[in-house]
Amino acid sequence: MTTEEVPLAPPEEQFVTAQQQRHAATFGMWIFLATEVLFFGGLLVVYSAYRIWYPNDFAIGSRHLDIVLGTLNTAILLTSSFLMAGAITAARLLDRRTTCLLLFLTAGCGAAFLTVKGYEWHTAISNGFWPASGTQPHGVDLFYSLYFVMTGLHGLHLLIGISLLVATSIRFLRGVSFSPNQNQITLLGLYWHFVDIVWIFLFPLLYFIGRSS
Amino acid sequence: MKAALKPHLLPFLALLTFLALTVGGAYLPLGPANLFLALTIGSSKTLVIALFFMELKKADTLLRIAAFVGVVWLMIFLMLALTDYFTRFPGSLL
Amino acid sequence: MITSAPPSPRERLQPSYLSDGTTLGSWLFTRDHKRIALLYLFSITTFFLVGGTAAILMRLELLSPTPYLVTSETYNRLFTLHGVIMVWFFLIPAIPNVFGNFLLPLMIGARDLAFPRLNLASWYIFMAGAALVLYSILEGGADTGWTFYTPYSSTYSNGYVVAMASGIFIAGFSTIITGLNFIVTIHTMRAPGLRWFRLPLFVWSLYSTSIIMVLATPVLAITLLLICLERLGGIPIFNPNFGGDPLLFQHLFWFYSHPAVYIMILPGMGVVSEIVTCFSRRRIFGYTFVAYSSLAIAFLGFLVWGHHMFVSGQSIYSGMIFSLLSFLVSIPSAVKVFNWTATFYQGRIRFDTPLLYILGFIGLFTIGGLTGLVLASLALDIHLHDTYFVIAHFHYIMVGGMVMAYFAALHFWWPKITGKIYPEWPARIAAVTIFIGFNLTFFPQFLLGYMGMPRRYPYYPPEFHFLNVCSTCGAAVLGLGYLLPALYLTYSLFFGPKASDNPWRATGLEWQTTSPPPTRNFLEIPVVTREAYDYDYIDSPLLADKEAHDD
Repeated sequence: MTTEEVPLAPPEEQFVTAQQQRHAATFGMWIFLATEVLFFGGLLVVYSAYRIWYPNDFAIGSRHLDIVLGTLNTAILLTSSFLMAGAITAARLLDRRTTCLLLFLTAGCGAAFLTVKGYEWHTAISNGFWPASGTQPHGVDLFYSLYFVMTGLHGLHLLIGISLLVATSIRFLRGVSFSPNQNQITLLGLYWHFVDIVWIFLFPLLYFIGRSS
Repeated sequence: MKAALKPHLLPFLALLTFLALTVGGAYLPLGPANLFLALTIGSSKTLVIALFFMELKKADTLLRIAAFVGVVWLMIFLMLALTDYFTRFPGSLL
Repeated sequence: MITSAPPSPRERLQPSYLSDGTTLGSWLFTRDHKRIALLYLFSITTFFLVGGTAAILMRLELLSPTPYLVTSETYNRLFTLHGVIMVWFFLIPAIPNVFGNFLLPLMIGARDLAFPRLNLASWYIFMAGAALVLYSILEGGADTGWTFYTPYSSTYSNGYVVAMASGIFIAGFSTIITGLNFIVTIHTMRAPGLRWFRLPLFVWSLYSTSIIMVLATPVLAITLLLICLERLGGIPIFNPNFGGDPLLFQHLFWFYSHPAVYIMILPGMGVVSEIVTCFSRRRIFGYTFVAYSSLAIAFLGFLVWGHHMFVSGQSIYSGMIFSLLSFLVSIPSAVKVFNWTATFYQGRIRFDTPLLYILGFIGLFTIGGLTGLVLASLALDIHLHDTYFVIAHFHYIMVGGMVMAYFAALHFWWPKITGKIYPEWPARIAAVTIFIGFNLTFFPQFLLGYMGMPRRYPYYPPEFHFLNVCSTCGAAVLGLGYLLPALYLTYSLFFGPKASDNPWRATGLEWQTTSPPPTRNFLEIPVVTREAYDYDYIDSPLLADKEAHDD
């Protein structure tokens, strides 16, 4: 496959060139990602405040999380980002089959992550760590409140990403033209990579409190 | 398939290496520096993804500013809010 | 900032955006930023009436020192309703979503915003949020105050907190989308020759507002989400019974809500710059300073939220830092007031209605801002927090400032938006009525607060009776003042004379197209060669000669 210059589709009426439109769309997506940083950031502030107040309880709570599953999940998401980057490259090479395959595999990684996460949740709840049960010291309850809210919100974003990946892949398999839509895959990629980055920070913050002592 | 994935292999391997460092580093007895180490490695992973997978390396200044402005604002929020939590504790008068 | 000539005969043959499609569908599925602006105008006017009704009921209750009209419980729900509707469904969207949407593409010489479909989506999202809030109100509403402090809102309140909070959560996405759209548009779609420092200051203010919208609103979203999760799922986050910190909610809430007040006032300040220049026929004094002051307000506004929490129990060290930062944030606002005033010097001032409102703005905003400094002083705030002094302070800025700027904008751009001229004398009478009514309503509240009357109470000690009656009488005058524009503006739609393209002879690209503009704004995208506010050129005899020859 060659990387020839693909003629871009004519821009929408408010833009002068297609290049301007793509630049605007990419810029818009980065601004959206900035809003997401602050959305998750609010949770980070709550986490930081309570970790300062309850360091020992947070360590207790963290030690009950499964490192093996957490590491596995992180590896899955890192792989998914690798595959997503590949999908974008494949789209630029106009390789429709590879693009759709990689999009599906990325979504598959996401689904695998959610499955593992679901199992972890189940384990935590059945071991009595659901925060409202009130069976734990205060700080542990707050830790698990944050655990469920942070991973839950992250999982929701992942689910949205998976749906978009599958939908996009199916659209392309049905023969929708590639060239005006190459930017769509790039934008989707930006979103997906961002969701990966959120997990990259959640992982040590949730799983590795006080493990060295 | 190979053509699509090959350009991204090196960053991916770097990410996996960083992951191993995260897990290993957590067991080193560094006290409070553990958190600092974990966040530094996390930031390195983020930089790899942002620069290579999200193509910030090739992007213009405008996109780069948009990419980092959220983080900068979050840092401002954290620093100012945590002044309260470092100087006041549950049950204390202050 | 004129460049190309006024609209050509060919341009005049284009259908205006108002007549380009007359079905309901052509409005509800439009991508035209001008039509979307009118959709917003309709919505926020309705919400202003709803929020205003709550205010009327509260002021009626406060005619008597003892409750006679509503129960305390109902009073709580009234001030919550008033705050929620006025803040999120009137003040925040008013100028950005009506005038920003309408004017931004015109002012920068573009055919539309960067993402027109997102723009329409933002209106639907806004209405969805409003529907949820109105539903919660009809069911009885929430009694937590618009500030939703925990643990009352998250654990103990019996009101419809989740519904109301969810409605605000949804409406917040509308804000974020609007801000995103504006930022991308201003960066990527300016006409050729339109450098940043040739932009109208209204665009600078919209840009700064958009930065705040995009960075602050997500924090509100997560905060409201946490309240809902705590309420619905019983997951402890702010609950002190589980070791949670109620103050943490306040940190999160005010990190958004303080910048939010700058979302509300910055666009108004942009309008002031436009009108001050036009009605004194002069360039703005210190363009660069005014432009940078908008950015400074946007940035510094994020650093001061703790001044809402001086007496909440936050650490005294935090309090001191926030007090200092709050003094700093007043500086860029003061810079603007000085520069506007200096712009008038040696100008040829015309006291048309828009300028009357703006003069009111400058005076009342200054009073509001100075009283803000009073509140920012830690020691004074201990006495004044949660009193009517605070209420007077923010109403001077929001009503005396922002609402006046809104009415100024409405009158200034009315000919452009509707193609009709409003009747000038009823408009001037209304402006003066509003000014008098406003001061009669809110100045006594400074005195009441200083004397110790607390806010959010439907009853008070008898020594506060007289001032409360004054305030309510003022509210009646103010309400009458607000009613007048509704009447004569509607009248002008049907019976007003047709407006020319540039009835104010103002600079700005929006005046270089027809009134009302065609759907695509310009036949050809203009090229900008002059600086902003070039009133020397537009008023020069040379240009008058040239135009006489062209005709």
